[in-house]
Amino acid sequence: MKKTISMKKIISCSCIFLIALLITGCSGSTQTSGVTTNYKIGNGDLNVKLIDNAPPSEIFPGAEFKIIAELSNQLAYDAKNLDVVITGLEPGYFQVYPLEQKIALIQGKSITNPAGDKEMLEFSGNAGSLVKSAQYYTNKYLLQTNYDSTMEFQDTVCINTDLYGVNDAGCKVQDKLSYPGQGAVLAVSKMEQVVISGSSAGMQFRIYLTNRGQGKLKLVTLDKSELGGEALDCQFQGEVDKPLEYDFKDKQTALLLCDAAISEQISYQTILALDFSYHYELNKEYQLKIVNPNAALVS
Amino acid sequence: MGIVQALKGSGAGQVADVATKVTGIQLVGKQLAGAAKSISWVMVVVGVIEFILKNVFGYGQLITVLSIILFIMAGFALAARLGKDKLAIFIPMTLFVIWYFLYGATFDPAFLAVYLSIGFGIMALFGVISKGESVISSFAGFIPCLVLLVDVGYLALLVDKVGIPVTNFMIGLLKYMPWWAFFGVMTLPTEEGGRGNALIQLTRIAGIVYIVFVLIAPVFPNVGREELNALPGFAEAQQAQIDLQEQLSTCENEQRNYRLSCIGQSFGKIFDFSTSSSGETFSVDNCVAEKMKECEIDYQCLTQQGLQVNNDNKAKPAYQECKAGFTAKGGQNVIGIKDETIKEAMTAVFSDRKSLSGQYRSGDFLHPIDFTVVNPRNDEFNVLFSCEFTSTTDSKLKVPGTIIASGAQGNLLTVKDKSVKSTVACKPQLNLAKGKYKVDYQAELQGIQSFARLQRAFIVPQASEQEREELIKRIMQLHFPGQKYLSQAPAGLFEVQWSFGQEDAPIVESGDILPLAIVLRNTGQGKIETVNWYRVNMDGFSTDPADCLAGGNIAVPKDTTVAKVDLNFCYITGLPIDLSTLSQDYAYREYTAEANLNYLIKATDNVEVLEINPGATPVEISSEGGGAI
Repeated sequence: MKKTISMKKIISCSCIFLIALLITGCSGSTQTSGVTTNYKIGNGDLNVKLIDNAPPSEIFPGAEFKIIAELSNQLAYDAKNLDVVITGLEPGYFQVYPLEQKIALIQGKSITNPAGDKEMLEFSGNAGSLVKSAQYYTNKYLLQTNYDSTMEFQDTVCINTDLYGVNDAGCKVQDKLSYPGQGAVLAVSKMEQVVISGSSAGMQFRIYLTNRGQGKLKLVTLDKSELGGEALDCQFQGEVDKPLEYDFKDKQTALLLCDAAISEQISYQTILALDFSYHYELNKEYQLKIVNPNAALVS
Repeated sequence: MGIVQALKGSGAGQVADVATKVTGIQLVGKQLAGAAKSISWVMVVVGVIEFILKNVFGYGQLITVLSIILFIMAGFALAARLGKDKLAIFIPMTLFVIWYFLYGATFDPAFLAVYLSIGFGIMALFGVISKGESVISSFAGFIPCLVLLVDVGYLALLVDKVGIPVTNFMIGLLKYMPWWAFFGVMTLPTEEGGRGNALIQLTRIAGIVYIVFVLIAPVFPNVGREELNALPGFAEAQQAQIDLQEQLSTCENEQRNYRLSCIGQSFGKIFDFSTSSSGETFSVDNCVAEKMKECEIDYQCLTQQGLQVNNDNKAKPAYQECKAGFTAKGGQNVIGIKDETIKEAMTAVFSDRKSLSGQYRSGDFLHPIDFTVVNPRNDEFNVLFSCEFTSTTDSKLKVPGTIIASGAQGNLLTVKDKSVKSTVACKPQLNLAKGKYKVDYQAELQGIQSFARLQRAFIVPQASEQEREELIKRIMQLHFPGQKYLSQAPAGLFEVQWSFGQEDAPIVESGDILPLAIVLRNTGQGKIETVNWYRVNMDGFSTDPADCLAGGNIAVPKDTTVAKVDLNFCYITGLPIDLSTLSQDYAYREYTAEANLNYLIKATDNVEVLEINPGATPVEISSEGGGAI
């Protein structure tokens, strides 16, 4: 009898687990392919944080303090033209110098530099006075980091303009492909292939770009687009004047359309390669707090 | 029984029976250990802690984590209570968790049709496996889900969203019901299950008594009230008024209820099909801020005009007019909030001496009263005392009094310290005849000061409207949550309240012409006599008229208790150079406005002259306003 109950439990547990797995796993299949290096896969980001106790969580009136920002490049690409700015401090309470610092380059992760480079930035500060009988003053501020970086995408795709498959039994065009990211905040998340058959046969690649980072993607530029070493005719959807540039503004996704004229009648596999450069803005909120030493003693 | 014995043992210090003490402690420990084996009992304890934390600190991450832990514990507690087919309880709980956390509690009908089908399918499968025995357990698993919903504010949602009437019973449930502890009490093991543990039995009894109290207490409207058999003394009345005013003026006591209601509303968004696709995000903080602002306006427009806060008075034209003034742009109806960084309030009060009967056997006496000042900023100012006797039978019969105050020079007390207490005695300048008299004391606080801080952010024209809106949104979230765009003044006898720019839009764009208004609110029990001076510390700003940032010697009507004094209204026409050309996205600044004034506090006490001192010449009080022989 005991054995039967424990078997029942095991079966029940397994059922719940499997069904939960089934339900939670239904969010869409992800197909990984076309990754050229270990680092250029998944999501990468430029990690910005303040180191512990710089600044201290509570500062006494008139005291000096340091704000030390650590920038760790966890992208698979270099971050360039970094500009770190502290915004939103009330100068009557907090005098911080400098409020802006620049770094030319922080190297990203690579085979020779698997951890990515780190840089420290130091800002010196002086706390002002509290208003009479105030126990504390808090001031939230932004640590804004702007930088430029790049992203490379490569995948082997099947070129086959024969919709009916009568000419050969070669590769099959996969009309929808998903990608886990290319090691950057800008990611090609999925791609659709549309076959245009007939006299002017060709293929259209619909490439979906996504912001996978914590900040805001600004201007994205398509620097290179090749199919089997030959240039593709690409355009960001809706961009007429500058078809190879797209300003994400507050959007999270963008669509790039690339057309290729295909003269071959037989199917074959070839490399689709796209290189992007982009500008990125990362805002992190922090807080400085002046406390009344007498109040601190009481507490 | 065991606990009683244990306590007897541990409490018998007089007999110093060490062995008994040890036994007692061991027994208590044994009871605790026994009770702790019951997950329901642990749930009661954790549920009470969660309830206290929630009421003290409000909803936060800690409460969310505790709620989830309690939710899981509830599953085990229920399983222990039901005793069989325990696993089936977790089916609806698991489904609920997946639906709520992974699928964002979506009410998409298509999704729900599939999801519920799968859910009921699993439950049916279990029912078949257990030959129908797990059905009750399966449905019982929905109970912890319901408790979780109620605990996070679902009841408040019903009140707020569905508009069901808020009965006393419901207020009792909303405010005082610790739902998880209640669940724990209901699932505590029975005598057999608890193996007769006294602590579990005590918890059960205490829990049931508390729950019964929560349920039936609202039925008796006078529970907790004192009978009012006689008029209270003036000090008591003063204190009551202060308490009431504090309660109403800050609106902070209501903040928890507002938050509860707003959390309910946020929950309601899940059920609101009409807005679910609009993409608007509901902010609990903004919702609380809106309600707080409404409350502040009610306070300003009702209580400071001497009206009670109720819906009848809100229908009055005076209220409507006042409220319209608050919403009008650039008007002088500025409001402010309490400065939460300053905990101590400035107070000045007379308090009578209850030990004194107020009966004298001579017409020549000293009648004392206490005067206390709390001066948290160590400001220096003088207090000028005066007093007068008035016959209760004829109010025109008055005799001036002479003040003898401890720590004072004559009738002038200089205040410098943080806390000053003085005994102020009033001596009639002429011997009083037999009879009853009213003694009126006055303390004029000369040159008391206060201030208010106000923050603003300055931006320059942006490249596009979208960038501008984005920047403003970011600044509002960072620097102006809740009502932080209003001026913040320390609590005290009066408050400086001021604004510049649009009151509810603290972002200043260069080129704007900004209205500036500054008022004083009388938040004490006395009267603003004279405004000696005021100034707004905004160096570098141009104004129209040019001298609007400072002024003084402003007369206040003599015969009325003025709730608000308008100091100035003008326009800022130019910004300092560092704010009109910014080196960063925006600049965040704080400014202060200060005021110095004379403030009059009055108090009244009663005395009775029983008989005339045989040695003294009695006074016949003249009706000409002064005393005469």
